[in-house]
Amino acid sequence: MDKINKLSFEEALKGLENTSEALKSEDLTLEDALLNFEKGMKYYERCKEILDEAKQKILVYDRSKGELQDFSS
Amino acid sequence: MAIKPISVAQLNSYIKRVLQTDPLLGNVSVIGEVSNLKFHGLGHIFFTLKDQNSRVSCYISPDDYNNLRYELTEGMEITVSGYVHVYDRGGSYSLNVRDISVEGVGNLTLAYEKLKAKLEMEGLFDFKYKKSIPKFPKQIVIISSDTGAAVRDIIKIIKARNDIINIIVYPCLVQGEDAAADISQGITEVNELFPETDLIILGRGGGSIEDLWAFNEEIVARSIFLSDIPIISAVGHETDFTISDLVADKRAATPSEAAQIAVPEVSLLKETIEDKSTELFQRIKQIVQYNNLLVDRHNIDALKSKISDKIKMTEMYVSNLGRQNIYSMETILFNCSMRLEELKSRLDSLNPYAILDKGYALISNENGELAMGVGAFKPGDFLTVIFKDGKIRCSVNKVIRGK
Repeated sequence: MDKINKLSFEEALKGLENTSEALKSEDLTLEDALLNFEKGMKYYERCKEILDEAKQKILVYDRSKGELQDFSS
Repeated sequence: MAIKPISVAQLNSYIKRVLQTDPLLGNVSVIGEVSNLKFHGLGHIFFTLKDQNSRVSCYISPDDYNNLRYELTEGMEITVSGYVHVYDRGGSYSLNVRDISVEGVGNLTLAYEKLKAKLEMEGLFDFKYKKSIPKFPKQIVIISSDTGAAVRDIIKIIKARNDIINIIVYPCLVQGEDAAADISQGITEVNELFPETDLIILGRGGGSIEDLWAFNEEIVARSIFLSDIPIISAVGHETDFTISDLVADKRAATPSEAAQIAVPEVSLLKETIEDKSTELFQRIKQIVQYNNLLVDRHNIDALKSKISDKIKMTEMYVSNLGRQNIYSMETILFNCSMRLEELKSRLDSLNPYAILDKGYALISNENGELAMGVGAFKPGDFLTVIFKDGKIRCSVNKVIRGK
């Protein structure tokens, strides 16, 4: 379960969608349903974590110095 | 002063020296229309440059041809720059072209169409080579002029939509003779320096076809094709179509549109995951409710009374069965005793002792066996006479046979 914390947004969203889809199945035991739900919530938390990070960097590559610098437009 | 006759070779050699030492003819630009364009083996190119009144033969070496920014086409008007070269053996001269420039929409369109056809034939525009644009990029590189409006627009729109993605601006020339080589180098370098980049936006703002020409050059097309990182081409306005657009993995009509295509809106993503989590909650609630219902339907009390009903039924069945058994046993017993009585009376009628009641007696030998005649005895034997009321032991004196 702890590897969910390392998923990319794309993977976590896929996981969330898959568990949501799996929960729609009619022949699901209560146990499986609860497991799926728990997993789904973990995926959701991961997605949310990524979206809330908001540590955007805007840089410019200085070709003569060969280094990245803050970009001020 | 009269000149004494000279040889043909001497004449041509002299003309060659005069022409090829002339400073003007050593570096001359000439405007004309391309005709008789011929590509020879080994990459030599010959054509005739003409105007309404005159024509001149032209030659381009393979190296110079590869560095041209335009595809040559019959009928296009070009400006060639080069020098006059004399073939002294043939007594002819030609213009050896170092570079050409093309102006005007009509002429540039001819060059554009020529390159497009060539690259299309090679498969550079094939859909099978197009890389998919990642849905959730983490890092994006903008290859453009760092002072241009295009970069500002792109960054502004990305920031408004998405406050997570990292943006790197890779500055390069987007206009003029050296632009194509610079862009091409940029694409290659970004692939090497920032391989973790998810997407490149390559572009510039609007301008004339001449302004945008770098994006119609072969060297740029080939670099785009070779890029491992997916590229969105965003050159000029909606109506501008460039070779870059065709080779790139995706065309955006404008730099602004490129920014919209490139990054998802974080607010929408947040909505999506909230929806999904609500869906999860609702669904699990449904499932739990459904299971509660199932438990209710099969609750223990109901089960108990069901079981005790079952037990009662079984008991009744068993006791019924018992009663039936007893009845059958009685019948059998009754039948048996009847049969016994009958057998007894039949036995009675056969009892040999019954005859004694009538005054007869029985005679048995020493072993107690009934004697059926005199043959069973000889003189001296003992016999027993059995009466109704007792026995007499006798001994035999004489045996008389016959009546």
